[in-house]
Amino acid sequence: MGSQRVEKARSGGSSRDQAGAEPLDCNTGGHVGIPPPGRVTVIGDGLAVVDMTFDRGPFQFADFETNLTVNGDVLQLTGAELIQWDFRDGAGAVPAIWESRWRRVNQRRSQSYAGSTCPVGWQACAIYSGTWKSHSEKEPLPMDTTASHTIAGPYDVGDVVEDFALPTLDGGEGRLTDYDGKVVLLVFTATWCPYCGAEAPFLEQEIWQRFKDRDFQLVVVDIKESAELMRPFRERYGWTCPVWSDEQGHLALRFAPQKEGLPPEVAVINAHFILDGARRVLYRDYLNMERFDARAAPVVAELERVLGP
Amino acid sequence: MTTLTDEDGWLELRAFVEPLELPPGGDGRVIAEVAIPRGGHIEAHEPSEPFLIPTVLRVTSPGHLDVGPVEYPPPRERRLSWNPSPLLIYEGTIRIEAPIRIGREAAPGPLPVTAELRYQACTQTACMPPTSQSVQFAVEIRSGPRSS
Repeated sequence: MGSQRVEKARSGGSSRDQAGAEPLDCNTGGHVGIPPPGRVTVIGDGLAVVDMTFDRGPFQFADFETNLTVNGDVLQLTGAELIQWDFRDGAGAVPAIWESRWRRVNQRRSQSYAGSTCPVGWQACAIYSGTWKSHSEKEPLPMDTTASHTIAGPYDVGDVVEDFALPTLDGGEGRLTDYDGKVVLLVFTATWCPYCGAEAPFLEQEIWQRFKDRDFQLVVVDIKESAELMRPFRERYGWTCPVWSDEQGHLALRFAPQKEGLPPEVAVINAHFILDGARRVLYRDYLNMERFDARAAPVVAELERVLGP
Repeated sequence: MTTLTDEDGWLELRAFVEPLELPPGGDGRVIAEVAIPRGGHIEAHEPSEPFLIPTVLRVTSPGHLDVGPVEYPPPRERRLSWNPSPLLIYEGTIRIEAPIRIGREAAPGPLPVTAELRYQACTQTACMPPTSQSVQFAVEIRSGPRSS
């Protein structure tokens, strides 16, 4: 075959990336370059046998007998688990963009995957991107919110957040530019989120009450819930700061990180964005369950840095 | 008796009635077996914190069926660094049960029953919104006198 070509489908991948020997890592945004040797043989209508070896383990589809190892510590499908590789488009004798759906025949849940491959018999040359939506009941969910597995959302530190307006819980409208000139802390929350509930009293007591008399505004954005559901939550924790309702989850799309297996309205929950007076992002963080701090100490530290102790 | 397992949701929910057959007026139990994926948990029926979503099983039938108070298993304690007190959770496989009584006017044949589980799940790395899973099954009503 020709020279190897290993490309990324998008940025933000694994730190283990290395040209020509990039391991499959479905949790880092789902891109991978497949190292040689590898072989794809179309054996029937929409069916293929894929046989290849990674430097980190075997990757084989053979007569539907699957022994797939993905980074070992991320996801393993071993033994005689059955996978149907259903090509919807291409993957014939020429390079093709394809989209496939993997379904273990003993499960009704599906996994989706998309990418491009080289011709049949190829050794390398692939771009993959995909989502592992499914998992065995007895396996851990392939979801990870640790920093190394998080791809930046649209707004990074230094970006200017475009203006937006949302309904408030009290029937009015909140607009971000109303707070131009102030430091703004945006907190994304939901009533069902345990971490949000744990943080809720501290948001009021240790952030809003402490900083509200400075050039500061705390805005809580409730994601994909009705105002009726959020109001008792606000009352329970005595929030006096504005609470805006992103009931359709549209705003979440602009702030959510891309986390495998998580929709934006879930991935953005418990995210914090600190904006300066010109709506430039000074700080952001996303929920990290291993390092979660109900008092949001990193957020408080950043506010102290910006607003003074 | 028939059972059905719901494998489409995040967890595996299986439900059935013991004994297999009941006469009109007879007593039995609905048993729901909940297999929670390894590394994950759902909140207890009576969670330790007010902000946690309780696990609730509802057993319903369009026919002549009385359902008694649902009995939940004892939860496990999970101590997390960010919460001062342990959280009460379910993990692994649990059984939730409810006593039932067939109505005296129930006709012989299969009586459809639905068990619906509402829960909020977390794994070691993410939490998900509350959701519900349900299974439909049937208890076979046999003709004859009420069993004691």
